Amino acid sequence: MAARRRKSRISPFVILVVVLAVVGTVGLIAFQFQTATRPAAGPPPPADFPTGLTPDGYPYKGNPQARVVIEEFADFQCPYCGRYAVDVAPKLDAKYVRTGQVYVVFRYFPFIGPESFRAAEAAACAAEQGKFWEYQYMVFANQRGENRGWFTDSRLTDFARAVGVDADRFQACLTSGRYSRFIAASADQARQRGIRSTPTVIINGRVFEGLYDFSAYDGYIGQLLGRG
Amino acid sequence: MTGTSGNFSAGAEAGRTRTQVSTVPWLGVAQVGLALTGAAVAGYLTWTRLTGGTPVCIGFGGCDFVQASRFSELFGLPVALWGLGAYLVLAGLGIAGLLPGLQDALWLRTATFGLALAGWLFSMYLTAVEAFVLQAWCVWCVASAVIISVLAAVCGIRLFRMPG
Repeated sequence: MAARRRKSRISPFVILVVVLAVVGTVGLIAFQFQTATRPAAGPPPPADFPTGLTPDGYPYKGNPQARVVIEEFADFQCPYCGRYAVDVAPKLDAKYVRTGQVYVVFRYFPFIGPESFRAAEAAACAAEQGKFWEYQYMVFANQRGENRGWFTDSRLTDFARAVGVDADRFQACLTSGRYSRFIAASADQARQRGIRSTPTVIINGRVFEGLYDFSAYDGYIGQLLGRG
Repeated sequence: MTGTSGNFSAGAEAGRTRTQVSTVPWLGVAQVGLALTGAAVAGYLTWTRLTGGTPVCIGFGGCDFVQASRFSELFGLPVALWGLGAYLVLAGLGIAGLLPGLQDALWLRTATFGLALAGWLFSMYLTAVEAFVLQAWCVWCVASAVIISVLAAVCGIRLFRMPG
């Protein structure tokens, strides 16, 4: 009797619901995984605008005469910096940097751990070969946890190779540690300027601490350009 | 023999009926409790995500990283918010299942198990993402994974095995 009662619970209706739940969830998982991995797996967007180093050695992009200046303070292990670099910055590039309306300067602010510092040194070595912006995108798009041994010299070199940096020169630069003092000084300056977290983006003096949607930066830049 | 068997059966049925009326449906209560606990965890993660805060990390240091990752969103909304919604629905279904007229409703238990199963599968996927893709752990997400696992088991037992 009890066995019959248990058996009757596994009716076609129950089987249908279970199958629907499993199939629906697997579909959802496939969709989410595809969405989450697509941008990070792709190549960095082309830096088809003026780029270079400021007189004091920081990477810049855009028109140096632009009325709007963005200063970006970031740590290569900071996940929200990764979101900014991959999701927000390319949109700002397309709308404002490419059109010569905005000038962006990158400030190294490694504070999460030794791997942040090493990645910053690596980025400075890529900048030496004129590939900073491609390289920083590659590093941010391929973050994996914090202080977990992911940003090894070998992996940082792989990223460099992937964006067309001469790997031998890059490795020689990284091994020499010649940007070590520069990166440390950059972090010190950021602290002296009161930067407390990353990403911090300063647009013509207004501080955006933390990550915002593209619309927040877009709205403020629009205001600045509109007011003339 | 037949009479004895019939009497025994009737006695068992009567006993079962009496037991159902007089005993607290512990599994149903457990379902509601687990769902509300899960809602609290998901609610906390949703709140920190929407306010830009950092979840308190106990034992692990990767909450911030997991919360900021692209895997923490589904259709443009935080996964934690979807989780909160699912837990609240499960709690609602659990409460409905405690009502006298719905205590043994097969459709209700089936729907509840279907939702819990879907939540468990998605949670296992997110746990795998933490382990193999992000290589970072969020203790709140792990807690939610444990809660939904137990909850799905409870819903499964309620559907397939026993009353309560």
